[in-house]
Amino acid sequence: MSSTPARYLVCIALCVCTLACLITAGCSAPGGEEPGITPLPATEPPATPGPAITLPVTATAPASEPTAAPTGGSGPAGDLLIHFIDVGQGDAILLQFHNRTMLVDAGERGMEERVIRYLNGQGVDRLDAVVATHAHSDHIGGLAGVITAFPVGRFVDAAQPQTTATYENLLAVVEEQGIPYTAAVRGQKIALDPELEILILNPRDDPIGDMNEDSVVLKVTLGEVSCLLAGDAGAAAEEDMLDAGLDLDADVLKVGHHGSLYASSPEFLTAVSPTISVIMVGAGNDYGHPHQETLDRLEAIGSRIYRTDIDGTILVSTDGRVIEVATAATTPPALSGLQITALDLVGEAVTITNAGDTAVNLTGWTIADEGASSTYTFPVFSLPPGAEVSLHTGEGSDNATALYWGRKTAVWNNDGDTATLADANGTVVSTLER
Amino acid sequence: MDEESVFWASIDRVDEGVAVLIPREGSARFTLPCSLLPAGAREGDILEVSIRRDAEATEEARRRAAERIERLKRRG
Repeated sequence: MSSTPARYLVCIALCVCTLACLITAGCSAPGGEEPGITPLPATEPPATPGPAITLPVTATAPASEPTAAPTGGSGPAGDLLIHFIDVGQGDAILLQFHNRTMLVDAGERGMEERVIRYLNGQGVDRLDAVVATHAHSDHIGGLAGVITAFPVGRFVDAAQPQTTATYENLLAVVEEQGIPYTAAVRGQKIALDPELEILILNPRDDPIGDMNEDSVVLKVTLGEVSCLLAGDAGAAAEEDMLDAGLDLDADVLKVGHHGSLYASSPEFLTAVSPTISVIMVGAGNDYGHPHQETLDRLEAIGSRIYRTDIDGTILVSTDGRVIEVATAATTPPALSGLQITALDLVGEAVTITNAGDTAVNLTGWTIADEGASSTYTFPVFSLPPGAEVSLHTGEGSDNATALYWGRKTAVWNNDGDTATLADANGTVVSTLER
Repeated sequence: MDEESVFWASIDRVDEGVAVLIPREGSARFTLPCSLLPAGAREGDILEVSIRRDAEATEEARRRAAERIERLKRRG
């Protein structure tokens, strides 16, 4: 169907070279390698400190958070943006580097609309790579919908035959759409951009035989900064990666398996030694994630913990030297001047105006109708001072002045209704009755 | 043949098309969409729940998935 260019490559590196590198001094910096077919970076002792990076790890001011700019924009620290999208209990991670994009997982079934809306809000019109870390539905449930909505350059899969209709249907879509397919194996690289190294650390060639343990684990490196995305890999996969002598050292860790105590072993965390840890987890989930043991271990290594159940969507940006983190929930409210200024019950649109002097970050904020029978959650979106934005009930492409709920039926009752605007913490900021 | 698990559970309540089932023994609690319940099942009913593994269907589904993975891998 879609004729996507096949310029996208996954390069296979020879693991044998790892051994060669092991005995070669000065072969440990992954950043300096040339793109294309390259060996895995050599092992460093676990205790080796990470690159010397400045880490103003604080939530940034709202004005500096990326808006839904059509070009994808650039974050406060520029270049590489990693969005840990709040999809409740599940994973969905968007990487943007210049005009290249990669999506890792898309949350549970039913989350596709949310993910698609978020991607639209970021100006994404194509996904160069889509990674399914493993076939559990809290990771791939939303993927079929997403890869139907955007052209996809390559689909990278853990390739473990799961028996669910969810997985079967996903692969059917990949096949029907003619999306290039790669079964992920340790040592491969995803060639998104020559400046960016994306290494596949897991699964190994002969899989462990457990869906979680055979998760695709990625290490993304830009300059001196690395981010390790662990999927749902647990202690067995961690031990295997350690035994294989992989360089696991990273500055940002997407904590394995939603903070389960059966992942994030102390040995693994010591090797990764992340300054920043991101736990993707839904509030009040059935599993008790994240487990206290995991939080304790992360605190023990001095990692700063961000959680999607508390912080909402988390945006990590880096220029390869400095890392910045922005979250939906920690952004100061800056409420003055922000209000609902119009509610068109028949035209199905609500208008929000920022009469204040500073931009207001609306990421994670909500608009609800009377009785909150319908609630819209803002994607990453910043409203400049003096600007207004209209939220339309129907479908359309989000832009700086118009957002689209994407619903097929009306929200607002023509006989009278009330619109309520609440911030990311649920605090009501403005209401308008019509 | 396949082992079978049988237990009894009460329909505690039905909200938004989802039935909350509480087994007579233990502290478990689980939910099912009402569409999977027998016609006429209502709040307060006790259900006999029997669960069997379908090895054949499992094998068949796994084979289908594995075949598709192989096909996609060959295609690249």
